[in-house]
Amino acid sequence: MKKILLITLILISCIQTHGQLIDVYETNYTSEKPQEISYGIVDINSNLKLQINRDSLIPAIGLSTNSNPILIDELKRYNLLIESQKKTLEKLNKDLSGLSDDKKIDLLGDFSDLESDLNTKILNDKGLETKFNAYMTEFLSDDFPKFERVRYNDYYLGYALEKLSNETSRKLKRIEQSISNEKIKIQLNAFLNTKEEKDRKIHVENFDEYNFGEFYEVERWVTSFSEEDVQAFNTTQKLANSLNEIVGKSAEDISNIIINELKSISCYDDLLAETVITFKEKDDIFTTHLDAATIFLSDIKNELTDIIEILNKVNNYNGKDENALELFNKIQNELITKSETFPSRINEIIKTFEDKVSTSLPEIESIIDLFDSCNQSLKEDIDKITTLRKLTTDLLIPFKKTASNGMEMGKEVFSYSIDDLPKAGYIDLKKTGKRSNGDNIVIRLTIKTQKDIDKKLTGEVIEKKILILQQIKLYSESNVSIILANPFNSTDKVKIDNKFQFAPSGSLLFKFGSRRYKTWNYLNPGLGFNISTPDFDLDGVPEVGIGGVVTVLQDVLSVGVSYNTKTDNPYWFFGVSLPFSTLGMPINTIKTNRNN
Amino acid sequence: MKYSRRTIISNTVIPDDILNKKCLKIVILTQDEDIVKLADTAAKQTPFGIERIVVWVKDFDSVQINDQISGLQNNLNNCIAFSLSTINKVGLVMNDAPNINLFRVNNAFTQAGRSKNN
Repeated sequence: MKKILLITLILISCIQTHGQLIDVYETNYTSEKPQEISYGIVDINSNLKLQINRDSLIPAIGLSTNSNPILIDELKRYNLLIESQKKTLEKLNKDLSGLSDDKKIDLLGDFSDLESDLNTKILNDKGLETKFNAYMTEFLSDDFPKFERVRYNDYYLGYALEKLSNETSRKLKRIEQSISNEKIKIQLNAFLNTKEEKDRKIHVENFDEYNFGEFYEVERWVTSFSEEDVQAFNTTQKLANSLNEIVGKSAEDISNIIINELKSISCYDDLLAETVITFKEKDDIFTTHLDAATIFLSDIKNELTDIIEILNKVNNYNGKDENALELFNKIQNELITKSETFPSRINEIIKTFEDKVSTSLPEIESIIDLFDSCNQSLKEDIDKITTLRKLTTDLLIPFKKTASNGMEMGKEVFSYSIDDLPKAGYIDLKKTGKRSNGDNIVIRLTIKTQKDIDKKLTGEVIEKKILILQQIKLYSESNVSIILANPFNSTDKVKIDNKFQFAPSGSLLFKFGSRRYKTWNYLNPGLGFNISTPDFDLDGVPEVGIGGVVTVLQDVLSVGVSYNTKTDNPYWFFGVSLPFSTLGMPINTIKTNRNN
Repeated sequence: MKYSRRTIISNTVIPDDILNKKCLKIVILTQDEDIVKLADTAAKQTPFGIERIVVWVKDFDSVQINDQISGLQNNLNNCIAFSLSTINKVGLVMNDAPNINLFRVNNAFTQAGRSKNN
């Protein structure tokens, strides 16, 4: 009985031309037995075993490279047949001892229902019908040994399946031979996509020689705020202050704050004015070296015009037509890029002039001295702008970088032929660096024909598996975000003018991760303790509010109730962390699970 | 042609003692002995220990057979064979002689064995 089942299982794996090419198993430290992953969700700290289903791989490669299309077609037809056979044979192999006739008839009914589906498939395929008729005729012939019939539970089906399995194996061998002759190479690689980084290459033992990443274990129980949380909280406090300022003033005022701080604009304006005047009066000023001075002044004027044009973009933007912070980000990028090469280009112009003119010309010297002073101002402005960008844009716009080389397959990934392909690859998730719930791992099985190799093409991905990383069962995590707080009652101590006030907030949340339900993990409800620091009395010193919070959608939405310990009044709050920046909205959630 | 003891030959109707047995039956109405032989062979198999019996009604009477079995077509002249469940519900009626083979006869038993018929 066991033998028949074993044969069936082998057969099923053999014929699954569209089946799984990679089976994923998970091991963790609480259970030694590898667990097959059926729902695409894996424990975030587990070890993964990627088992290559070689017998499925062969027809898949054959199908992809068009090797032996007739054989592949036959295997596909067998696949249609085989899908329900495991169940069918399990039923046939039931132990009947001690069962009443009625119970046996019930079992026959279940079995016949399944066999009926199987027969329908066979009857729709003349070739298969002929084959099964021949198997049955052989099984029931007088020459067939009786003890063999008993081995198959006195029914032809097990025997027919074994015959079909043998035939399939022979066909697979022939396809394998074709693949081997065509020198097809197989590669397996994996990438980690986190919220901060896309396509980070990760090491798959047996399949590449990438280094392990940083060791990082996502802790199951987070019971206090980490140092990272505290830093995030401080940064969020600044962001909340800025946002409260934005709510209080108009975006235009903020742009004025930026503009007034940029000293280099007026410096370069003055310099340009002096250059233009000198240029106009050059014939009177320069009795010698007129040509060299003209070229110098002309080049300087052009360079100044360029930089002033960019600085004026900052000056002229009104913060109304576009999102002020995004526009500012765009302009400052342009300015920073330009300013990196601006001093060297000016130095080049000065050097060219000095090579031509050895004597000192006071008007030119004056312009060069002014340059030195303006360049210093520009450097200070760039520092200010960079700091402002860090305070605002980086916090507001989700940052996601693509790892160097992206998904490009490096030389570190081994190429195998079908004959020497390892049975399995292993990934130790703890050695893949920082990651969090909802991140995913992409596993790709790629084949390369000789033509692909010769032309240095990337080959064809024949299996792509996406595994979502998740802490399973109950866990806790910390979270820092911005909330909008609204006091329930207005006491003398509460002095805010607006209904809501932005405030930084830190939460310790309990959550439950599912191995099965992606929607649940996506909704990701959390319940926990919250601490926030609003400034209801507007004395510039944040108060401490303590309360409870409920979050959903990976903490994008949060609602809670707190009590302000200084102003003695309760308040409710909500947070909406959107994945894009919109002025005036509380944006971005900083997840800060503790580092080890 | 020689048949096993699983095959019962009858004249006009299905014997009552066979109908009263809790087993799967196939009733052959054709004169084609090859088909009877196929059914006799298929009846060798007894999955789940449920007996299979072949009844060859050589000179059948449609009216009487219809009286015995409900759910059959009235005119059985074109009918080659039909299968019956343990409680004599019709499993499958076979009308197409040229295509009948061992697999199809076995399928008639399978249809009779389905849970909806027992």
